[in-house]
Amino acid sequence: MNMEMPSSERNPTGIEKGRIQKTTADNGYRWRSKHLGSILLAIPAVFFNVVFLIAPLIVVLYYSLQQSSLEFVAQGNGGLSFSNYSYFFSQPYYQGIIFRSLRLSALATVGSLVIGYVTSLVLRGMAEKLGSTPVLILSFPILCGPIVTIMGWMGMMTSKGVLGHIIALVNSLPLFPDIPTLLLGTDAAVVIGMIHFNLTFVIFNLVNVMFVIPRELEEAAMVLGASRWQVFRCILWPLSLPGVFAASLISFALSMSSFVTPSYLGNAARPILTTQISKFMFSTYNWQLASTASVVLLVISLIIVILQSMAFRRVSTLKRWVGE
Amino acid sequence: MKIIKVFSLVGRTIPYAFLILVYAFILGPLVVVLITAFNSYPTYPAAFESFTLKWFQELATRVEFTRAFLTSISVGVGAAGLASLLGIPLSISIVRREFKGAGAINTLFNVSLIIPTLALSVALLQMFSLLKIRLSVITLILAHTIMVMPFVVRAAVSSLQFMDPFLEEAAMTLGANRLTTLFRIVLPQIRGGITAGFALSFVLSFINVTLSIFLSTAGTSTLPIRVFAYMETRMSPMVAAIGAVIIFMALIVSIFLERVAKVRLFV
Repeated sequence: MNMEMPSSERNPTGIEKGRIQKTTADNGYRWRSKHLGSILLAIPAVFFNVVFLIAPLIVVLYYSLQQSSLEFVAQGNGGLSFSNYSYFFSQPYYQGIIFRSLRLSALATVGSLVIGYVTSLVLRGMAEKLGSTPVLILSFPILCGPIVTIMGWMGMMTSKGVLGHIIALVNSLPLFPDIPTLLLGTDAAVVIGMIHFNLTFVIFNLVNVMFVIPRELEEAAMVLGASRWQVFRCILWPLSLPGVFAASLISFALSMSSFVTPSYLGNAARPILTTQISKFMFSTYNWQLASTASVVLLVISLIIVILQSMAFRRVSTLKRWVGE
Repeated sequence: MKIIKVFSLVGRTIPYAFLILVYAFILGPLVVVLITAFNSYPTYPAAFESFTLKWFQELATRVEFTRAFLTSISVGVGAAGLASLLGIPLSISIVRREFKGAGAINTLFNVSLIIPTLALSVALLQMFSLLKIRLSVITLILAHTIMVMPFVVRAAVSSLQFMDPFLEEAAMTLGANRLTTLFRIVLPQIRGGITAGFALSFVLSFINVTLSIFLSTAGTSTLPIRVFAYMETRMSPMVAAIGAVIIFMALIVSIFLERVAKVRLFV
C-alpha cells in the first residue's frame, strides 16, 4: 500500500485508477477464461499420469487378487480373492523375507540416523564458516547413481579392497572375533549400502530443522550456566525431534524400497522384499505373487508417507514458531 | 592448565575428524571408481600403479557400450523432454491455483515421488504385457517420464513462485494474447527452473537402473544395465572408466544446478 501511494500521487491523470477499474470490470469474464486455461494446461500431464501411473497400479492390484498359477494356492473358483495375500503372509519363507527387510531397514535407519545426527550437529556448528556447500556435496553420489556407487562398493568390499583391509586390521586386534574380510554378499554390505544412500536424505531432513533452531537459545542457556550437555539435552534435542522423526521415516522408506543395492551387494540366497519381487517376476514367473508383494511394499510406503506428513506439519510449526 | 588446553584442542578437532570420516564414507566409492579408471593395473581392486587413459580408449572401441550409451542418452533426452512438455504447463496451472483440483494435483505429484520405483516397474511391465504392448525404446521413455516428471514440476513450480505476476498482466493489458504472453513473458522468466528440471531429469533417467531392468529388452539396454550385466561376469577397470564418465557428467550437472538454477532437489 505504501509503495503505491507515491505513484498515484505522481500520476494525477488517473490512468492508474482507470486501469484498475478496467480489470475489475471484466474480472468475471477474465476469471472464467483463465480458469478454463488453467485446466487445459493441467489436462495432458494428469491424463499421462492416469494412464502410466494409476492404471498400472490398478493392474498390479488386479494381478494380486487373481488366482496364483501355483497349484497349492489355487483352491478357489478362479475368481478374485485374497488367497495370494494369505499365502504370502502364512508361508514361513516369505515371513522370513518380510522380517529380514524390516530388520535391515531398521538397522540402516538407526545407522544413518546416528551418523546423520552427529554430522548435522557438527555442520550446524560450522554453518557460518562453511556455508551450505558441505550439505550440497552430500547429494553428489545420488546424482552419480547406483551404478557408480555399487561399482565403488564392489571394489571396496572384497578382501583386497579398502574395507577388507580395515576388517583385517580389526581382526588383528585382541578380543575381537574373526570377521570374514569378504564383505560383499553379506547383510552387513547391504546395510552399509543402504546407509550410504539414505545418509544424504537423513542429513537434508535434519539440517532442515537444525539450521532453523535459533542460536540465541543456546547462548542464553550457556549464559545462564548450562553445560554443553544440558544445552543439547534440554534445547537442541527436543527441538530437533520432528526432524529426527521425519528423517527416520524417510530412511526407513528408502531402505524398504531399495532394490539395486541389495541385489548387487547382498546375497541372492537371502532375498529381501524387493529382490524377492524381482525373483517372482523373472525366476519363478509368478506375477500374481510379485503383485502381492508389490502391493505390500506400496502399503508400507503409503503408511510411512502419512506418518511423514504428520511430522512435516510439526517441522513447519517449529519454523513458524521461530519466525522463518 | 596445559591438560585442559590439550583437551580443548582434542575437543575442537573431533568434530572435524568426524566430518572428514563421514565425507570419506559418502565419497569413498566414487574415489575408488575414479582411481581405478585411471590406474594401469588390469584388475580391480588394486593399489594405484601408474596413470593411464587406456581404459577410456578401450571403452570407445566397445560397440555394446557405445550403443548402450546412445540408448541411455536418447531415453534421457526423450524422458526429460516429454516430462518438461507435460510438466511445465501443469506447473503453471498448479501455481495459479485457479481451480479446486490444483492443490490436490500438487499433493498427488508429491505422493508419486514416494512410490517405490520397483513397484512402478512391476506395474508398468504388467500393464504393458496385459495390453500386449511390445517393449521398445518408446515404452522405456514413457516409464522414465513418469519417474522424472515430479522433479520437473518441482523445479518449475519453485521458479514460477518467484515470477513477477504483474509482468504477465502488463503484457496482456498491452494487447498480447495468452499464447504470446506464455512464450514471451512466462517461459523466459522461468528458464532457469526449466533447464534445471530438464538437466536433473536427464541425469535421473540416465542413471536409473530399476525401471530399465524391468522394461528394457536386449536391443534397448541402457548403459547401467549393460554395465551391470558385464560386471556379473568380470570386474575390469573399463567398467570404472564408464563410472568416471558418469561422475564427470553428474559433476557438470550438479555445478549447473547449483550455479544457474538454485533448485532444492530432494528436500
